[in-house]
Amino acid sequence: MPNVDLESLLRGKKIIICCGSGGVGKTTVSAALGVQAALLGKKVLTLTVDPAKRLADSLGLSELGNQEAQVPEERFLRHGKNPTGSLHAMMLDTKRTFDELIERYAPNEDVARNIMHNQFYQHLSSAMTGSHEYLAMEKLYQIHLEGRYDLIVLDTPPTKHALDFLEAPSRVRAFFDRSISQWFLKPYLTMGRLSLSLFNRTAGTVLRLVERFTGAEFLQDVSEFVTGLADSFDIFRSRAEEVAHVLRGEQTTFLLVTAADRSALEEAAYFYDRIQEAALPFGGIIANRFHAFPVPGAAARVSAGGSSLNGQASLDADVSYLSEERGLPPSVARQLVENFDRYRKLALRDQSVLQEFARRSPRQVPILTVPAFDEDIFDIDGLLKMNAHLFPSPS
Amino acid sequence: MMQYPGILDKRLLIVSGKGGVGKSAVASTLAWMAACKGKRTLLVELDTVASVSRMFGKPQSDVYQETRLAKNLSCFYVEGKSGLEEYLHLVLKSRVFVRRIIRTPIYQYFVNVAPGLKELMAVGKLWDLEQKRLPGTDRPFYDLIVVDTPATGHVVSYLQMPMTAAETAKGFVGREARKVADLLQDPLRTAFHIVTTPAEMPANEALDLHEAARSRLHLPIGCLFVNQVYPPFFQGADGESYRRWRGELEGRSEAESALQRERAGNEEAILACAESWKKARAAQDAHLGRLFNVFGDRTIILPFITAPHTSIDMIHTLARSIEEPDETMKGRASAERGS
Repeated sequence: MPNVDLESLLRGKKIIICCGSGGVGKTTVSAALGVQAALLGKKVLTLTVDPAKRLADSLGLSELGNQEAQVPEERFLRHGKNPTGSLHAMMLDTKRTFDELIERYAPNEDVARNIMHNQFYQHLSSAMTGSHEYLAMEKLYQIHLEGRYDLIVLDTPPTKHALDFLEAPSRVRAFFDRSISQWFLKPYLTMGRLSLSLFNRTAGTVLRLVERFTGAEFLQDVSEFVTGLADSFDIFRSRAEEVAHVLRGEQTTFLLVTAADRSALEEAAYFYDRIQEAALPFGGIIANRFHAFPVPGAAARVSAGGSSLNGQASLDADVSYLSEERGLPPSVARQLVENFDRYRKLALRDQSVLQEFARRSPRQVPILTVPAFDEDIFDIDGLLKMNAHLFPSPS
Repeated sequence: MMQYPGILDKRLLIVSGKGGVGKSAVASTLAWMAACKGKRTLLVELDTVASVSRMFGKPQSDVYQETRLAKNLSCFYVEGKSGLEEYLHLVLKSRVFVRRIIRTPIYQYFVNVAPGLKELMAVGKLWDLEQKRLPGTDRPFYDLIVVDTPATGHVVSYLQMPMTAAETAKGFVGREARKVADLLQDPLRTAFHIVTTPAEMPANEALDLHEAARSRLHLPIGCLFVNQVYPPFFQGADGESYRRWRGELEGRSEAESALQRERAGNEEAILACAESWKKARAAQDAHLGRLFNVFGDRTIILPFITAPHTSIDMIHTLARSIEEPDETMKGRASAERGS
């Protein structure tokens, strides 16, 4: 399998988007990429939705809000690193980003204020499927246009599927579809209730059903929201298209961060196919928390399944050796060997999962493994440790 | 004897937690335990990545199709969009009419943008399943329903929907939502369990989730399952023995090491693994301590399992850890709390 050349990506791209389902370490990988880019002389911004608090604290970003903040150089110096570039971070407040869009595109302040108080809008900005994902892209696009950074690393919001992120712009385009929005434009404002003559029968029935289910207030809210922004629908749509355009561009790359287990890698393969279909630029897969054997020398023997390391007999022999010849209490010897066996099994498991993935994907998917660390990564030191694996020095 | 008597004596167990911590494995284990005790059990996958049927060696289940997994146990995949369609069939009665409605762009539009509609329908289906009765009797069709939920951020918005709708929606939806909210908030029928691992982000999310479930959703909180816990490292005299052995190994000259390697090739690897274990467990202890402080005796420790993927074997091991908890697994964190 080809490797992922992250250093070339950091040097050559302007936007790196880290996708992946929740709980795989996307935030940490994004931060580690940011650190390395700063060390390579880039002015880099990492944009995150859900900052790991301890990591943010240790980077001196306790006050991280919807504003950019620079990681103090002193935090690098403390760990013996002197960045020629600079690392900035920003927490993405999706609600705030949406509000800013409304302020910009509503015809006047009154309409903007009404929309912000509209219940439908409040739900929409916090709950609509894809709204977080889209707003993350929107913010990324804004900052990209401003051109103040050499590189932006986006840590995407946690989704059920990594793919949800890719679908966000089309969802937004569908939402701002004029033919649909017209249903809401007039009736409630002009007549106070549905005038069925304006609709074809089925659509009228749907609206009546909605009214029956939710009460008339809901439809009024929708109507108010749509009417307020009607003139801007085309702007929203074309904006979504521009965002999608930048994501497809030469200067962008997608990375998929995944766990190193079987189902995660199956999803990764599916994601890769979809990325190819959508002709999006793809940097590679980062298989995080890969269980490598702690002793590099022994790893080869372990993975070769050497007879001395196989089977219960060998484990029993190790227990006897440790207790009889090394004088360890038998229970301690037993636990030591069981623990060794646990690591061995984990290493074998992850390796076979990876081999299976390679065997089953005829495509040359670039993939890079990052080991599971014994401790949480919560400071520059930890990120540097991770970088030793993300950016292996040529050997 | 089971440590948490009555854990299965509910109608509805909701299992939640951050992605990747083993929610599905815990939900499957609870369902399997109930089925073994003779309860007719339904394992519901609530708008999540359908995966439990594979653990039981069965093909992936279709949406809204009950799939039999084992004796007394089946699974069911619930998702909001289909839930809404089913609901429309119930309300409107005419299949043709429903099909026509579903095809209209305006319906599709509403399904996608109406805040919480899909969530409400999905959670409403739980109520519907709980209400199902054996034909001709008032005995429940399912004795227990175990729900595997979507990742944390979403589970709150799902479970919030019936409560919000009960308060704000007028008419039909408001009345229906009240019934669903009553079920979710009833401590006799429902328990809300949280799954986590003893690591920074999952533990934070577990604590946040607990807070949201308690103060915002008013759900009856069940247990905290802490998954993937390493055994505690050596303490006391065992710790002394370990340090002595490590000292001897580290103090050896290169020539001695080479000689030893001939005789006992694994010894250095065993030490390296032990040191890794020590560090990993120490990191886990810090988070276990935080979690114990909040959940106390309602904390259930589950061991690190090295199986290649979630399988029935893994479910057996987890069930054993729940039924016959190994007190020593709590280790330092619980000892400190006790003292």
